[in-house]
Amino acid sequence: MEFRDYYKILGVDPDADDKVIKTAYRRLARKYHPDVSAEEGAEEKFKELAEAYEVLKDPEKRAQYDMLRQQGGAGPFQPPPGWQAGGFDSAGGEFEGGFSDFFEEIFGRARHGSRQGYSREHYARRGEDIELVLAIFLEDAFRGESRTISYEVPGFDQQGHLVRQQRNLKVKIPAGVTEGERIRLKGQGAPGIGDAPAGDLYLQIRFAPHPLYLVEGDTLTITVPLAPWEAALGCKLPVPTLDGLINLTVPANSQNGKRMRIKGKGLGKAGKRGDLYVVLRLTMPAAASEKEQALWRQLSEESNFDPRKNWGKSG
Amino acid sequence: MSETSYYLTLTELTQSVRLSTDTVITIVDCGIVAPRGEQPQQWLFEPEMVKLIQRACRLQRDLELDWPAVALAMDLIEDLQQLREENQRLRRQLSILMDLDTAS
Repeated sequence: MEFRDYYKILGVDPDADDKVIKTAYRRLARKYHPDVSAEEGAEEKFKELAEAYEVLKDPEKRAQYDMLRQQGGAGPFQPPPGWQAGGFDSAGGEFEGGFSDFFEEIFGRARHGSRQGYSREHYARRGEDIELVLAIFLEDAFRGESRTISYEVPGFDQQGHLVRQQRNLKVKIPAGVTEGERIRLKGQGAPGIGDAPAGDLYLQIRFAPHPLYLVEGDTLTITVPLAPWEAALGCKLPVPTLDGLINLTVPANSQNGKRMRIKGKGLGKAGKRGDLYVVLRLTMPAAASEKEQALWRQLSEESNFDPRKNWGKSG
Repeated sequence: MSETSYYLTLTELTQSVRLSTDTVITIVDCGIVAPRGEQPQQWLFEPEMVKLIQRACRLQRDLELDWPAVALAMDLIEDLQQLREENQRLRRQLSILMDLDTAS
């Protein structure tokens, strides 16, 4: 086991006083807290910080740690013979994994921890909530399909050891769910200990990227490619919606990027549907035949359109 | 088939997040979440609020903040998240419109 230099982690001198340690922790915690930080590896970094601070802010733990640090220092760490690791009460450790093995070797395990070895008789405690991300297709969200999901729940075997059990559950996705919505399945989380109830299962809805639609809440956007002449002359074309094809009328002389709203064809529950937006995208043919080129040339000679008239005259 | 139940009562919430009723009341008083219902005993929390309350507690504990500061931080995190999402969406929209990803 590697010796952890808590002073280095907090970036303070070994003789730093409490105030310096507190300031260093607070500054780094703001930077790396997983709820605030977008940096990669922030959670790992924050766990290290929290562990270092847990030890260094407590005079008793810090004294114990300093003693070991002076004896061993860097490199592989072995607690000295006869070292007694006592349990401790901690408010922390809510993030997955808790503190490091190094920490537990010195200070013992947090008493509140849900690690192995608790037998059923000791106490009753409600089971943990479980959170899963459920990726679904837009069409399924719209219609409200049933899905069977598999997940693992922690449980205890006869000896009171922590084991993981596979669970399969058929879930009805409520019609009209939107991206990011959380579905709560009461009592489908980890089983409770003793007489306590089971935790809940939360499903966070994520939409698989759709080849046609962009999703924003209950608003859908579809991009419709148009040939230049379709935009110029106007046209009627079939546009796919969640309710099937509809006929869209593109007015003559439509600009690239023009947005048209089709009311009530977005996502959402019946009667409260969002809208579908159609965005026109003018698309040039990759290559033109000789005859086509001649036609473009004819148009360029005929037209007095100046797309850059706002630039003014230069030179 | 498993039934989904939407709202959590105050009792269900305190059991779920392992907080005291007083702490939850403080969090609601600071406007971090706004449950339905007038009196605490009638409060109904949306599933999304469980996550927000857990985040609020982590911030309060890990950054040693008082609750009004937590409320401010939560608002700013929410704003930032929305801006990031919007930015991503607009970039996607723009790349479709402008052919940015296939431009040679």
